[in-house]
Amino acid sequence: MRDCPDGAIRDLLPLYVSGKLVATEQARVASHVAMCMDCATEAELLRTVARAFPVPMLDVASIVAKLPTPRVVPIHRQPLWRVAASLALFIAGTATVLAVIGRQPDAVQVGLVQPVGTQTGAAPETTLAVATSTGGSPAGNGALLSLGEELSDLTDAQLELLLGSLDGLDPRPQADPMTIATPIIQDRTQAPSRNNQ
Amino acid sequence: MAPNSSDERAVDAALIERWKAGDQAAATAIVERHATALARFAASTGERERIDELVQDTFVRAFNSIDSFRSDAALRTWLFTILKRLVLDRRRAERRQGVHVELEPTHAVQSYNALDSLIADETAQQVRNAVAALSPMQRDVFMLRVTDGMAYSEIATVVGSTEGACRVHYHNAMRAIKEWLSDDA
Repeated sequence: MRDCPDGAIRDLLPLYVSGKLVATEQARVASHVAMCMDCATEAELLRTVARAFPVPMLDVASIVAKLPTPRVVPIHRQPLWRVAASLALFIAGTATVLAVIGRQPDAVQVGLVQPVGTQTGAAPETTLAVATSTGGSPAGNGALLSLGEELSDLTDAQLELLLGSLDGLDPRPQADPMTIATPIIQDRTQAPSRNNQ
Repeated sequence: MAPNSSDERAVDAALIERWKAGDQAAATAIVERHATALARFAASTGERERIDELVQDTFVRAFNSIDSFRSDAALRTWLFTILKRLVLDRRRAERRQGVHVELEPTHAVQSYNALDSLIADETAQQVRNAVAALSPMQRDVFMLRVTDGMAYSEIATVVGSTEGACRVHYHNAMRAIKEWLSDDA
């Protein structure tokens, strides 16, 4: 048994015999085999090899029966109301967080404020207010400390004590907005005189 | 070279996806597509008994680790690789127990006696003897090339070698078989 000198064709003979070549290649090899005794002999030998190993009987059903079952991952479709509820919860949470951040005191103001509505004849109540502020009116955030008396009613000792405590405050704005900022002192000297008018 | 290798891969990939989605019929289709070739290869390696069990174990192992299968590879090549590993495992186990003897030409004659009624061709018997006389590597490469029409690159994956080495193994095997048959004649 001799070998054909065309190694490329010989290399394709097993695929030719098993029909694994594309049509054009199959036709090319077939035409070569038709003219080449060596390749024809080798192709026949390859067919014999393929036939020489018969396939044992297989029971496909029994093989399949022993295969594992696929781990199917179910796709949970969320009901619309769940989506809506989640969205509402998210929005509410976000709003709460923003509100909390918004209430964070960035300044604490101390001052004597005059309550609204006291510009009439009635004597206004002069108030020492230590107020937190987020940029709005310090009075709007409410007085934290009120003497509840007119300055004119204070004794000299009380006035000196009040002025002394106010003088002790640093008038300069703090770098940290969380700390006490500028004390606001509203015309403490004129308030009594205005009351006297 | 193989005309429909990409189509075959696409079909296998689609069947795998169907099976993953719960379609058990897809598993049947996969087994039907590849079981015969696997059994033939198992027989050609010298396995004489429980070939169906080998094929079954191959599929069970494959389906158990189907998630690790890369869809860009050929399922058939992967299955052959698993089968080859199982054959080697079985031989090691049998060797430890002193059961298995590597396929020898004379052994091959005896081992296929049961099949002689099916293959009454004397030439076929000579061919089996010649194949049995090959080295295990030559035999695996040769049989994968001849009975399954595998590309050398795929064979290299199955037997754990290189494409060029597999080409050399194939042609050496063919030469050895021709010589065996010439001497036997």
